[in-house]
Amino acid sequence: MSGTERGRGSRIENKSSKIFYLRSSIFDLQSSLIRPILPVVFLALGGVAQNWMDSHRPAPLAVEETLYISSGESIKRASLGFDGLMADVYWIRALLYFGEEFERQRVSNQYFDLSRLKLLQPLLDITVDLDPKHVAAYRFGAVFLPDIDADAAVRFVERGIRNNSGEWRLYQDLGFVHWRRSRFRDAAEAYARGAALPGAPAWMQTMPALMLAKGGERETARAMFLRLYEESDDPFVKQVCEAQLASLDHKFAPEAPQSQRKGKRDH
Amino acid sequence: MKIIPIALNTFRESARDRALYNLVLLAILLVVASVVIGRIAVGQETKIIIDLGLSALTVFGALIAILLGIGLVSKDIESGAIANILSKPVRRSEFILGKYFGLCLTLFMSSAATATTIAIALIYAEGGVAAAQLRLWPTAWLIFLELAIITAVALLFSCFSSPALSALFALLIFLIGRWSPDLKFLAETSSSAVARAVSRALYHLLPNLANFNYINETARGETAPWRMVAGTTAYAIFYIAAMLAAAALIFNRRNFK
Repeated sequence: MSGTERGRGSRIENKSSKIFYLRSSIFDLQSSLIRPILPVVFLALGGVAQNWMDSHRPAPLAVEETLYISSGESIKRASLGFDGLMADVYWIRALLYFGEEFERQRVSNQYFDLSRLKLLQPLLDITVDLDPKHVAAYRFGAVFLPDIDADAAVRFVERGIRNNSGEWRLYQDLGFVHWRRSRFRDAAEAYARGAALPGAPAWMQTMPALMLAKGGERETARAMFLRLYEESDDPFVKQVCEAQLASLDHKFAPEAPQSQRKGKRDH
Repeated sequence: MKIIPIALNTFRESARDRALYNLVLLAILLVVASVVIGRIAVGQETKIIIDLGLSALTVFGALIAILLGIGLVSKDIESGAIANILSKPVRRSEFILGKYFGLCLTLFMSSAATATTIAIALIYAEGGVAAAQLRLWPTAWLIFLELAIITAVALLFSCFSSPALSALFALLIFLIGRWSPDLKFLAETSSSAVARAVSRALYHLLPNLANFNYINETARGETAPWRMVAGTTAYAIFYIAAMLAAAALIFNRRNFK
């Protein structure tokens, strides 16, 4: 190989290495620009695909909620001591079940029928099995369970009272359940027991007499209102007692002349 | 006393572990999520933040204790660093104690970070600082003690077993320890005398981790009574001392040649 040929060969080599260098730097530049963008691009494409699938997928069939484990005791044993957390899970599940059923019935233009919520009681039962002091669950049950099974609702709230004997609100709820069933004597008893607890508000004291009056036991109710009126220092309680005494006198003595009834009240 | 330098070195080593950061981050994320989940559960926001937060602290703390605890001794044995360390004037028991306290320091820091996040979540949910939020801390302390016991158990297994088996054993002890009231129940009610004796022996031999669980009561607004905290702390100290003594005994008899 002559010197000229060698010189030409090295020039070609030089040129090709420059081209190679240029190409690789362009490629590097492209990579450094493209690489950070790629995840964003693919995510965006994934989002487009998801939207397409959402618009083409048929609406899911309404699946009836199932309670796979019905024993709170079993869940408690399996929960490794995290039973409070599991109670929260079941409490949220009960609320979601209630909300979903409400929404389902509303969408199908139905009157909200609580008796169709078959899983509400088992869900609440599990919640209080896991956390017997879950007052919110008992109170929720007291409001909604009577429409499903009134006896079970009474037993549920009584269980709450056994586990939380200092909670006057549960007595109020029990009184409410009895009142809804027109069991005024039982309601009066529940309110009376709750009113005796520390922290119970003054109006709870008026409830037993109100319940008895509602149940038609006028004389007992009157005596209770009168005694409460005399014993209480609370102006609100006194005001309620006055109004109720007046109402009782008015309701049960229609034959007496107005002036006579007024005189009786003043006395 | 060589325990402190070994402990600080172990702390530095474990603080570099990615698994630790991932687990602590997951626990903190769960606490943050509890604020959102609490909104779903009508009127139970505080309860759910405490329940979920402290449960996350326990579960992720136990995972950290097991995952890092099993490697405390075995890593040094596998890498051959143990021969180098023991060629220096360091007693084997000092090495074990230093390793244990180093990991406990790591666990203390990670538990404190998670508990602080729970406290911040409570302040957010309750709309300000309240004295009732202080009830969180005695319970968090009890959880830390539970984690310290699991670490001691993992360290004990790490002295004579492979990392995989040590992790399995430590996990089983954690599970059985949480079920110890059932063991006691079995010991009291079983019709078989042998089953009663075995259950009673296991009940006293294995750690009673149910003692350290005061999460439900805290979520309900109760504060762990100081007598109970003191009693449980004493129990934890005795149990950890027993585990470390056994670990040191086994480690002293091991031949690393």
